[in-house]
Amino acid sequence: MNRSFISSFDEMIMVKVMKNQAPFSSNAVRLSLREWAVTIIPLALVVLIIFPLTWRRLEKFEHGANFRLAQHYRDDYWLFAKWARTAGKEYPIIFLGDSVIWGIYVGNDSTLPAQLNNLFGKNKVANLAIDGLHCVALEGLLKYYGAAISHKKVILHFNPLWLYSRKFDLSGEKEFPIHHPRLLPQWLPRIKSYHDSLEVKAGIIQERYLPHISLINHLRLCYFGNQNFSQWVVDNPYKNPFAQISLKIHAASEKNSSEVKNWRERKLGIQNWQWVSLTDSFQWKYFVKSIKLLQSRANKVFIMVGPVNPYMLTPESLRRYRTLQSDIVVWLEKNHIDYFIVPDMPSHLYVDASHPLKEGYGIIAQRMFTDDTFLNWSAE
Amino acid sequence: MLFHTWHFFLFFAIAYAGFLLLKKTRYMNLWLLTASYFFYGWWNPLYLFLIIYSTALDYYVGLKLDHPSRRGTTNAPFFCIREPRKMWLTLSVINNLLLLGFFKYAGFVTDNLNTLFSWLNVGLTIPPSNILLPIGISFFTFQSMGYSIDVYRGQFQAEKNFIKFATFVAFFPQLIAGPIERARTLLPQLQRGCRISATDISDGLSLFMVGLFKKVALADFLAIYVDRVYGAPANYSSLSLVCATYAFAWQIYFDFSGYTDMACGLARTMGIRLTLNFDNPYTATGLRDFWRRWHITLSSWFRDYVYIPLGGNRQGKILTCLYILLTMIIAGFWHGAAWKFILWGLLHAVGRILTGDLEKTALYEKIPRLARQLLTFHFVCLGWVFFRAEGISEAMLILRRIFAGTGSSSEVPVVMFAIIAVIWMYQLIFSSRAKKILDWQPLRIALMLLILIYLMIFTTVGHEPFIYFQF
Repeated sequence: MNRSFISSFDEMIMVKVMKNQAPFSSNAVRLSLREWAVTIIPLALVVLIIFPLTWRRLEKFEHGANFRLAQHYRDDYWLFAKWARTAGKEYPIIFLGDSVIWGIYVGNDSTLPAQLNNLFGKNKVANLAIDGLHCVALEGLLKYYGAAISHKKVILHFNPLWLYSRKFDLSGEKEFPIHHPRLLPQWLPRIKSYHDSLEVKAGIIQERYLPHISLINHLRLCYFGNQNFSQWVVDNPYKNPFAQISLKIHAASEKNSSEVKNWRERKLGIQNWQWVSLTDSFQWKYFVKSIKLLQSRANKVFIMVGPVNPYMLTPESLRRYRTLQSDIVVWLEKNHIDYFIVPDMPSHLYVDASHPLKEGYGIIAQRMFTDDTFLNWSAE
Repeated sequence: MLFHTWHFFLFFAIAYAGFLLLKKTRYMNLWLLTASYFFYGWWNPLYLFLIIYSTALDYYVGLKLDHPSRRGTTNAPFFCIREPRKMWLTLSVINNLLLLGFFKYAGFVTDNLNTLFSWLNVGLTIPPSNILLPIGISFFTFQSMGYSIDVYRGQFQAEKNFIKFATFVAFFPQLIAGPIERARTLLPQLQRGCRISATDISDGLSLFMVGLFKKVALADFLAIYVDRVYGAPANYSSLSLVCATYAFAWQIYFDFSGYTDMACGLARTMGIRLTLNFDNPYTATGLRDFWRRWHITLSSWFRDYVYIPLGGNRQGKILTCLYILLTMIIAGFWHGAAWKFILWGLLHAVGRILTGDLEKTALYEKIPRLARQLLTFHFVCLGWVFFRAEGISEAMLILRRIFAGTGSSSEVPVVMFAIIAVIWMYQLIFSSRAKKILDWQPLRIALMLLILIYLMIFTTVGHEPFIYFQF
């Protein structure tokens, strides 16, 4: 650092600054306001409209009979919206619910929607259920990603198990990992057991209104092993990231239901659940909101309540559950909503507290098919 | 509150709206100061006491130094306490250095003393220091100290308005990681009624977006690879280690210059111009050139307040070399309380001394420009090994493995290096005669479109802190 360095430095920095001619930057791309406008408009057009619309057309998934989204796509709401659009066009009845309806322990052809299709003799019911979809998440799913099924007949599954404790009812205060946090109300009403940073919550809100963000999440989930682009490139140094994008979505793989044991064989214990009353339940409040939302979209709603494994409950817990069940019935009748309460099945047909075995789904489908309310509702 | 977070976005929206409303009133600086203190206190409100104390003392010292009859410099060293003005300056310098020393170097000193005691078999152990390093302390103390020295030298009139002076010290865009502004460049801009032109807005936006791209899309991307390889260097081949070192060279550049671009962009939207801090450093053709381009405000600070007061190049070749050595070692130590940073500074000093005369020779000028750029880049990369490694022994291990050519399986993310190559080409063009090509409007728009599309599609806004925050 000698004098010439100093003088040249001064020349470079200070003189320019003092004369109010500070260099713009070392190398940044510089645009005028007009150029910004020219940039932003096509950008918004490309990223927010053309990209999602083109992708929707380009990407295919083969949805044969009894199609359901693979379980590892359960957080891919872009794909759900795409499946909802397809199902909305091709199926008269949409079945929405959690893993009980999705059929976590059975193959594609043994789920409840599949068994109903068997009884109808044609593909009439589309399985749009998602594993872990509790009532609060259901409302979010319908609100932000389910517009395509408006004007359709919708069977909405209500799983009372979400009310078995204040924790799963989301009315508790202790934080725990909640399924589908991206579908929850982020700020209002405040869910005391759900905490995320402002960054995450703002990202979730963005995703709901900017379609390219849910599309990016979809690409990450489908083609990049749920990794972001940077991480994937580092983990796969010699692979071409664009070659990963096959533009094909695979259906859920078949499960061998014969391997699944019932709850007694699995040695699950008897539970003394307290159950949250309907009036205090956060999940029920959101289930009601979901019904209202569907009705506002001209959907014809049918509610299926249960199943719940009564043999896994202590007598006291079972008594409380029965009270809850009758409260649900009272509310549904008061609001003139068609419903079906899943009857108790033999003990050996339950895998756990709510999921039936393949034969259990068969019985539920049979019972539904002999239920006049359901038949009338589905025939209209 | 990092620039690329929603917290900051909300903060800036409010701060900017308030600034626009108040910029023509006498409350403008009060508003900016409140916003800056809120921004700083977000990390830890207790830090506010520190910055307020440092500001108040230097403000008072400035007033004491500024007595009209006492302006001008003497030949006596500034730490001489026989003269009151020197005493005030000494107070300011010592106070700032003590603050830095206590918060930043206490742990280093106690660790080294304990090692020394154990080596000498002295049955004494100083309890380890658990003091949390206040963010940005290295930057605001230097800025404040620079002000005191400028006033002492009579190069700048002391600021009478405390709010204005405090805003100069704490101005939020550059508070945490610079640029380290001089009083004569920033303080005059903190005038009520400052004008914001359309160009200021568009330039600010351009700078911010490019900075965001550098940080989120490039620096954080490279960090994944660098952290992996430098986290376990013994598991990686020499090629991987070389690539990780290249990647780190670009990571730290993108990280720091990205922050600076964002800082300059934010200030620019308020009509305030901050000093250029990076000028395509990896296109430098020599080490002297590199230090003209890398962290310019810090290197000029050390030049003006350390190197020149020591004697600069006026006292013969040997002393000049010694002053360069001292300045660079101090600059290295400024970056962190660890021996590896001192070694990094030493390496650059030695390189600078050895190549100082060589760079002026006709022979050196005859080497093709690209070759000189590559040579400089590789020397800088050698320094980055010490800078990035966990410690000196790890750095030596990395260098041994690199030069031994160990390991057969290598992980070289091709896409990552393709992106770096494109950016390096851009910088080479930018610093060449062909620069005009980059001014072509459709190209600029296309580049910005690519940047924005990349930001929107390939990146998720994360929370990776900036590397220079730790300094």
